[in-house]
Amino acid sequence: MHLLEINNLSKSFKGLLANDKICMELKLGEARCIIGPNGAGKTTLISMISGHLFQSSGNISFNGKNIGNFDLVKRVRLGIGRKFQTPTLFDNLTVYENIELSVIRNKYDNLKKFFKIDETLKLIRLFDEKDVLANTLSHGQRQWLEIGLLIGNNVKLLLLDEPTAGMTTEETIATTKLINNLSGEKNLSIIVIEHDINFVRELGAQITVLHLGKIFAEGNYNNIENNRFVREIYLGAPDVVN
Amino acid sequence: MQNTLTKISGETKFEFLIFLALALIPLVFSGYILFILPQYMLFGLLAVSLSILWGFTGIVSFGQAGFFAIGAYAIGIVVKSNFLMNSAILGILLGIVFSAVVAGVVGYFLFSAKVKATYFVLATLALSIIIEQLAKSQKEITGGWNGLFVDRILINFGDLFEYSLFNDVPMYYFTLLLTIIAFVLIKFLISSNFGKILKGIRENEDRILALGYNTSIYKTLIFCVSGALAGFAGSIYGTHAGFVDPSLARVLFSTEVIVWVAIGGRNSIIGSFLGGILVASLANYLNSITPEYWQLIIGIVFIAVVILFKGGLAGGFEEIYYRLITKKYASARN
Repeated sequence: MHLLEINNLSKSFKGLLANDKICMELKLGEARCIIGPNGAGKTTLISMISGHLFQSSGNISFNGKNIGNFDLVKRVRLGIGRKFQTPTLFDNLTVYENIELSVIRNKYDNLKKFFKIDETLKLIRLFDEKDVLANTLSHGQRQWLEIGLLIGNNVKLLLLDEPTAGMTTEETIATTKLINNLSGEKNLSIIVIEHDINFVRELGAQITVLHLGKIFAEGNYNNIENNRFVREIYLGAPDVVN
Repeated sequence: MQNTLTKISGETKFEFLIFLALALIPLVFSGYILFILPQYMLFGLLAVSLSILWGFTGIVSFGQAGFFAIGAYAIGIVVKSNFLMNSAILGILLGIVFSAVVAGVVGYFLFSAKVKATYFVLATLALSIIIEQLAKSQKEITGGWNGLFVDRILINFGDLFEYSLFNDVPMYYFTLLLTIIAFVLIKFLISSNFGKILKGIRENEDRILALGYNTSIYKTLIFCVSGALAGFAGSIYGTHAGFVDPSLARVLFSTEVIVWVAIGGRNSIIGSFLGGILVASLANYLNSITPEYWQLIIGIVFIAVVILFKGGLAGGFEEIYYRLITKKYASARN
């Protein structure tokens, strides 16, 4: 059974079709990259899965349950967590307090809570910064902290909107490892929107290409790289000429 | 971690000293100060009721005086009708319950409709005016414009125990005891997971929602607690002052509460509490020496504190304290 099943999902904004009959499936522990030029409808798709937007038609099921009408909070409680395009954190709280706020929703006892916070801080490589205010972190660390909020929240499906934006090469590599670790060892399902093609290659996940609100192509990195039409719309036309 | 621990215990020590000082005052002073100080402690609690909303959750309310008035009228009406032996305790309980229910109902509808913060302020302003108008118009129950005289209450549990609050000293200790109980309960609430989530709402409501917390429920609950606390303070105020009238619910009084909390420090429970006591005392004193200009002076103090210290006097105190500590560390290192 698939963890996430999306069926003919469409979204229109006053006549503009942002997503057009998207169909997609995601297994438990699977990572998936969504790429596509600006305005392809990537963020809209993620927003419909997370519950920040409601679909115009079609349906979404998660863990066998039809969640098309569920609100944001209900979906989070089922296990769908989202990282926003610009990191959305509790800026005036410390890193520790940030993670704590996400962990306490699980209603653990004190010991278990402590371990969960500890484990999460180590996973996102911010253990040494735990007493630092979130607004003093570097841009890359802020991205990690927000991923940490999802891990602490015990989600099953992570929706990551441009997680490596503003990161150094080294940080990007660490993020790739983190995401592979989460999908491989922790068995979490992950959807990543990304523009950085190097990151997409390193991640080695299945890729879905969106173009003008439709699924344009699907496959692994080599398939996509060698797809002439994808190169045309996304990687740049000059390559095709050569 | 070490830092936060010492900081917390430092604040608790300070709070303990304040309440110890309040407990010792009747041994040293007598007369007017013993009469008026319990009233200011209740104003302090009223300030705390706003602080948990404004400072800890990020919701401003102009309706705190309304809840205070509900509490005061509750005890006034119950004591006057005198249909039960324990009318005093019943009056206080009803004061709490009524204001909590009003806050809960109003909060529920406003918050679950996702009303923006600015419109919420306007709604609380209207609530305050509605309560004032009800107090004026329901003459048979509230005494209308003329208000209601309330006797000092007699606390009794059957024949086992009886405690009259007619004199100032018993009233003083009764008020102080209840104030401490309310204060400690609020401190527990704020440091609990519930309190942490409130802080999260203040910091970033979108994020807290996206972590799976139903924020409208949390906001409704804290508004309910805030209303209950204001009503509780109001009910004791009713029996202490011996008189309740519609002006208690006026918007001007709610505004005063905001001034107390802004000066005392909205992010600090003890700061707001002291803000209530000190600013009300200052206002009383200034009013007696310069009746024409006292409001002007309070206004200048208000503006000065807001400009100088971001977190009111409590915030300023904390800032200076940390600066001193870092200086001490710096000189120790050299």
